[in-house]
Amino acid sequence: MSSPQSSLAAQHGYSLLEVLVAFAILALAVATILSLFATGLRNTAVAADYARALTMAESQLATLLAKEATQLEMGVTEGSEEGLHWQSQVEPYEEPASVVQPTPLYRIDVRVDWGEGERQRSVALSTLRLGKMP
Amino acid sequence: MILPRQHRTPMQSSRGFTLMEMMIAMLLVGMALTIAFAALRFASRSWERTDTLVSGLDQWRVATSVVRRQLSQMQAIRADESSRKLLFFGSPEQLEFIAPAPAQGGRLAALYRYRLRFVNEEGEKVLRLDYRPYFPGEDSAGTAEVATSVLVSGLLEGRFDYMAPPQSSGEPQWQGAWNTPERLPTMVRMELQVQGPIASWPPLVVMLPVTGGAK
Repeated sequence: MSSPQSSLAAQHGYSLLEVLVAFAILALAVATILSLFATGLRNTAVAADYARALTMAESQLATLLAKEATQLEMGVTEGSEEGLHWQSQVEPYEEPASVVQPTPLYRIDVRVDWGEGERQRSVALSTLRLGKMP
Repeated sequence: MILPRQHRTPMQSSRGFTLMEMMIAMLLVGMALTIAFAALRFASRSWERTDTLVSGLDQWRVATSVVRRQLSQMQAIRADESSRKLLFFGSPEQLEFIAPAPAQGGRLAALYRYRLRFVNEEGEKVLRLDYRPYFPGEDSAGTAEVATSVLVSGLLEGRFDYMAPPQSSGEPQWQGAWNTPERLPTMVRMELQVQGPIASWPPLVVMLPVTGGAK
């Protein structure tokens, strides 16, 4: 049985220190949750960059594939547009020795880079196409 | 002598807070509210920005995949038996071609006439896709009902360009309109500038599957 006296004595509030600690924990929790939002936004922006780079790489690839075989130039071409750096390479494809090739095959690599330092990202596409008839 | 508590009058036992205690308490409540409001504002703003970014991205993905897939499957079909003109029309604002549509939702896989066009609607520029079944021998107006949908809205700029097959005289250049109806371009390029966080997209270049000759 509790007397009024003991119940009153047991009812002490929080000390200032306890409240401050609770606040610090709350602030940490809120900061963590908010950083999730920021991470989400940043990841979405990265996804958008990938989409742009992919579009650029596919367009470069289409340009090289649509060229007449006689006008296909070997070697590396590169350029920069809209913050993206592209580099395309055309080279004869080294086929396995056992395969007989009536027409030459060319390997086309397209690579799009963006960002700097550790944040550097890239998209690379490769394909094969037929070259000029011998 | 100390009186037992229960014998105190209520006034004596409820001591109240000092001014200092009140001020500290209010300061703490104020800080908590400030943090909470700032957090809410930040959260709602970044939510909104993510949302617009994602919707712009989705719109672009759908639009480019539709344009790329249909254009890369297009077929060179003559307008009629007597002429050598192909059913392909290209201008900076409009592009018409014939391509197969996949069977979907009770619709048969068949050839469709597609028309991509940049139009101004309600004060904004949009990229619209019209399509209707193609029946050989019909006139250009056709009889079938035209289905239409908006592929990209909120455009600032948009245009098509066409690349001619290589000639003996020099490198072919991009040209704004396609004026040789007997042949097809080797590539079509679509350039878009959209309102919003991702303003400028790289040009979309699509290689056409047939070069020159008609069926």
